[in-house]
Amino acid sequence: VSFLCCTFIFVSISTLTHCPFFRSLSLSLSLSLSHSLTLSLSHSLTHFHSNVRGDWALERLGAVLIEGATNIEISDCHFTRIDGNAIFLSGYSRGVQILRNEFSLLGNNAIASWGKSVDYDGTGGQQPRRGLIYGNIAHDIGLEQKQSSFYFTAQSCENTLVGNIVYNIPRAAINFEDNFGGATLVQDNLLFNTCRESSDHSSINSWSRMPYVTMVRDGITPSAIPAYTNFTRNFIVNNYAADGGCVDTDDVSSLLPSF
Amino acid sequence: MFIKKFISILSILCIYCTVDIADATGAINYPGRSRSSAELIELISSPRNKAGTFDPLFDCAWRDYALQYSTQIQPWLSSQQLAAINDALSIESLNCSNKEQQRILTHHKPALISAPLPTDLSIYVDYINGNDANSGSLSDPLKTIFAAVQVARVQHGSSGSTVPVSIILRSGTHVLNSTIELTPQDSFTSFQAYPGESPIVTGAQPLPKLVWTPFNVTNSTKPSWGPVVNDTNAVFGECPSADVPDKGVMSSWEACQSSCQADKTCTAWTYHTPLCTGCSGFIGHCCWRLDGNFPTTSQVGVVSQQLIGSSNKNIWVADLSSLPPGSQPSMTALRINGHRATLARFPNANPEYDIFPKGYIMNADWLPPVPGPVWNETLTVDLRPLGLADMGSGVYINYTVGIGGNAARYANSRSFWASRDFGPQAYQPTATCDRWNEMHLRSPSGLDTSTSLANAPYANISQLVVRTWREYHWFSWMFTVGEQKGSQFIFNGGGHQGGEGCDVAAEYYVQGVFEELDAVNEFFYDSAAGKLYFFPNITDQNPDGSPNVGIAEVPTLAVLFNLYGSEEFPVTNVTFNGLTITGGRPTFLDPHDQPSG
Repeated sequence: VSFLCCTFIFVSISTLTHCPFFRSLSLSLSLSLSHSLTLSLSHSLTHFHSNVRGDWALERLGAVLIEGATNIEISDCHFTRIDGNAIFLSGYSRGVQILRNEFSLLGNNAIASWGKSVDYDGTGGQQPRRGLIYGNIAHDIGLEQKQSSFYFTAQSCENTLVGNIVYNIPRAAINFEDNFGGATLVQDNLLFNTCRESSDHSSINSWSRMPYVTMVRDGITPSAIPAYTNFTRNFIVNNYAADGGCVDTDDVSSLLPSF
Repeated sequence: MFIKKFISILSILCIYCTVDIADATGAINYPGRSRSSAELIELISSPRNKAGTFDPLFDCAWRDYALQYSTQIQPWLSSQQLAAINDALSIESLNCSNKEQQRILTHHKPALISAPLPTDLSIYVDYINGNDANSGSLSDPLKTIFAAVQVARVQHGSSGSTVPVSIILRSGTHVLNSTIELTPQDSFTSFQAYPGESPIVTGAQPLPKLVWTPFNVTNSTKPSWGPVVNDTNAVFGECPSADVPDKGVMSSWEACQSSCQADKTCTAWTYHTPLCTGCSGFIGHCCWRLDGNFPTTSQVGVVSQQLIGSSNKNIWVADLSSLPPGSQPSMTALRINGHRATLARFPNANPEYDIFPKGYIMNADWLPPVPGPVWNETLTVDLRPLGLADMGSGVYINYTVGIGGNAARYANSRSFWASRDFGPQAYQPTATCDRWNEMHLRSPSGLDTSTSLANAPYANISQLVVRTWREYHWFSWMFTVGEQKGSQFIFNGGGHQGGEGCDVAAEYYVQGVFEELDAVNEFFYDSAAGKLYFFPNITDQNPDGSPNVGIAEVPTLAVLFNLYGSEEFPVTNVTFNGLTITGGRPTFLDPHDQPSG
């Protein structure tokens, strides 16, 4: 069985070579003795010369709006029937922990994480960083603005999304407007019934058309090259025919060369 | 058995993956981006798991494993949460035995998560029984969270700013009249549920007890049919299927109409006349719809008609004009008995459970964008010196934004899509969004309603919002309407919720006009007269049909808790635990900015 697994990965890994900043290890099947199967299926397309893009705008508003904060914990809460965003991280924050919450029947995003920069210069650190999004469950969201996700991120980095369950949403479950400084981990999430109203992009989507300068990659050098963001060991089912498959590293996130 | 199942899964995955990639490489530029409405509907609203497409063994197996996996990554899931996941996993499944699901549901024992213990400095809040003049002790609770925050500040002042203070919320619904503002002085404060209780914090304001009188109550059950529309196919790509049966060849569209209208399960019909040139094999066929949808595609020689509901009207009115002057709420959202009422809408749909294509008009005549400068100025910085490489496509080497011009729709007047790298040098009115040298910020300036809105023009358009998909379903736009010119709506706001624009939009619906208040669960508030109109659904009805509304609330706050500090002086160590947070107002018309693109 494990041989079959490996073969499957190697056959498909060639499609992943052009998404260096979103290192996708998600084409994997693992079988444990407890008869549990973790399954995820993804592929990344190489869109050279692709000049078509989709993206959206946001309001910096949320039922819980956080800017200029450290060590905030939101746990075991239920955000429901909010017509806009539930949690919005804007500008500077460090170590915001969003744990085991449920999000349901929301108008817009469950969690939006959107920093600020001086034009391209993100070295000032005015972004949500080192957040932990763990063990949340989100479903039936995006009732008002269809361009919404369980987790939206732009100009934000070094975050961890682990063990979340997302289903019944109009578009992507997790959307990277950009990778900014990178170093985000997306692991052990269950994503299904996504892209139900668009069949566009994927359960995890990334664009990253705008370069930003940060020092995240090596800690000291201002660089337009972000650190790797990893998508790994997620259980994704693309059961609403999204054209990007399970993980769509779109536009620049698939264009840049390897380093 | 297990290994066999596993190998089966592998083979299906491989096939599936191969098909997907073939799709990608088979298209010239960008796979799937030019899907028409009909193709989209075929993809996302018809059963994907047609017999023979997927292995039923695989289809059932992944759902079983997803349920099992849920309990592994979140062992604390409640039985209700797990049952809801199971329900979602059952949508459009093939005929799976539910044996494995039942085993998982039965054996799941939620892991206990211990709530944080109240600290020595605890302030109790009881919205129902408390009083802000009280001390805030367990036996003498405060009424409002606002007052508790003030007391917490005093305690931090006397005990030390880093000594944890707990604000403990008792059961019940805590109504916030205004946003709770938390600044660095509120650090080391937690907001938590009293152990074992489930407090709710809402940004929605309750209305006073409503007294309902009948406004338009007909108690008639005669069905009401829309106009017979020519050159329109409402079953494209779907006939025959379970919800769209082919009723065979009939002599005329009138015969097709009669057959449908005589059957209580038929909600629309489409007849393929001999004039149709693209209907090979379907000429003379009458197809019914049983699902209430009416997803129309233009096709010469095809005739369709839709059941638009019972003509039964059950509209009641409550007078709110006695509210103090200035306190009449703006009411574009409403909760009735805890659930969303639907602002009067056409076509009808319930946003909490209906998904596209239900509730959309498929074809629209959009008015072209108003010509204007793409930008007033641009900022473009070549970042190759900072490590960025040119990938050979000549783009993506720059940080690039346009400022002003079309980007003025955003609050900060800046957009990647109006930038020099991606905007055109001049407005080109003949281009559409399909032309990929023409990408910038455009949106239609209005809508001609003559073919789609039977009730337009409307008497009062102050709350009217046109809500539409951008082509290819990249995002949804919301437009406000400034004036009606004959059958045309002229937009005066909105169109700032998305990114890369287009001259036209796609499927749409309208909301916020009294004339469309015609279906269960819909409401409309006439703010000038202070009158609230409501068409109750069966669960909100007394035996005589009148609304049985225990509580009506108006979502009013966009932000319930605002934590605001800075890098130098941050808000720190604030916790929210065990709360239900609800009642936020719609924000899709608020100013938006565009992230990086």
